[in-house]
Amino acid sequence: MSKFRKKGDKKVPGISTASLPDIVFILLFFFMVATVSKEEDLIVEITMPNAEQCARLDDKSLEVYINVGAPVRELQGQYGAEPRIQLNDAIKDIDFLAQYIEEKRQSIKQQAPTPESGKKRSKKMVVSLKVDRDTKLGTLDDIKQELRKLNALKVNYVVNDVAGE
Amino acid sequence: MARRGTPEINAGSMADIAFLLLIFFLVTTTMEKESGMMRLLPELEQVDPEEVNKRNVVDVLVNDQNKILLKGELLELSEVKVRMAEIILNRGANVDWPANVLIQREELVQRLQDADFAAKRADKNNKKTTAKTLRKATLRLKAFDEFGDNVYLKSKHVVSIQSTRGADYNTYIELSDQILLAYKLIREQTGSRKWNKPWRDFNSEQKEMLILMFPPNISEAQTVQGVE
Repeated sequence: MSKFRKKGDKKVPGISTASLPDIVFILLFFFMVATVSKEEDLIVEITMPNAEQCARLDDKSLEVYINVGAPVRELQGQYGAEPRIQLNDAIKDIDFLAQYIEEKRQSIKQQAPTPESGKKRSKKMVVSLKVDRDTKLGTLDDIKQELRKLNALKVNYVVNDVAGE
Repeated sequence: MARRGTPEINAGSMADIAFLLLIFFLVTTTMEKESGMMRLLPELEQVDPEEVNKRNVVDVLVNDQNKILLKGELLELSEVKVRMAEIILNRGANVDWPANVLIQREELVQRLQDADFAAKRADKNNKKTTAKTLRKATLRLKAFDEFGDNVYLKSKHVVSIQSTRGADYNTYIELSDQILLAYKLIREQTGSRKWNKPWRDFNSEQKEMLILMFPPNISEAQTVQGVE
């Protein structure tokens, strides 16, 4: 009797594919969790302007959105057809901006592990302005002025990237 | 063995089901592709904006009719890029256009040493920022040695975009885009002249150097009332 068995002595057992579903499920869960399609329901109509020179933000969790555009048709009776500001899921007056920014700032702060790093983190907050292309600059300027008062100075004009076309 | 186990249910198709689901999610979740233009608003307390010589201010005005005035010159949107590049570079040393200041090599060396010192003493909190500063300082010196002091100048320009309240946001963004494209044009031209190849063939270090040499300086000014 030798230590080594001869080849062909025994059939190689087939690799069990029973664990394959588990692997695929892990992948599936990963994708389901990772792709947070952070889409607020827009109740204002926004066609973003085109631009070539733009960049993507690194950290989405630092972003705070302000949407500006004319209300959708169903809401025009209530809010009029002029561009309005949408914060969270409702159309708000500009006076609510202070409260909104402060709320978001706090939540960004709380995502950090320690209070000091939270403070640092909240300074990195970026206000992303999604503004309809037909909005008048006066409306935008009021918002900018308000943001300056709130010391939220980093703004990001969201545009359609048309580079390479 | 006399007992015979119940035949196993074939789990092979489980994988197929899971794959189907996976593919479904992969296809449906369109990652929101969002890009934007970053700007820094001026601080509110800054009552007296720092004294800038008038020639260094490149003011761009947009009015209610979406007409563009660049340093007092009425231009079409498509003309802005080239004109802006000329003005920012100011190679003809026009006295009404932004001044260029010579850069001293010693100054860059000094800054590199400072950055190096800071990077060596950095703790884990500011490690990233100091490393970044060090890299920038290194590249600036490298760019200086590569291009020389007659190409790598410090421009004192400030682009100030102003508009009336009735101007369109679209024009504003397109204009901002054109201005940024002017910087790109300057970088491309400078690089191509040096290395005799188009921008896309530059390596990332060369691109970084050019970006450091010609950094955008755009000020978010307030809307002006009733400028015609």
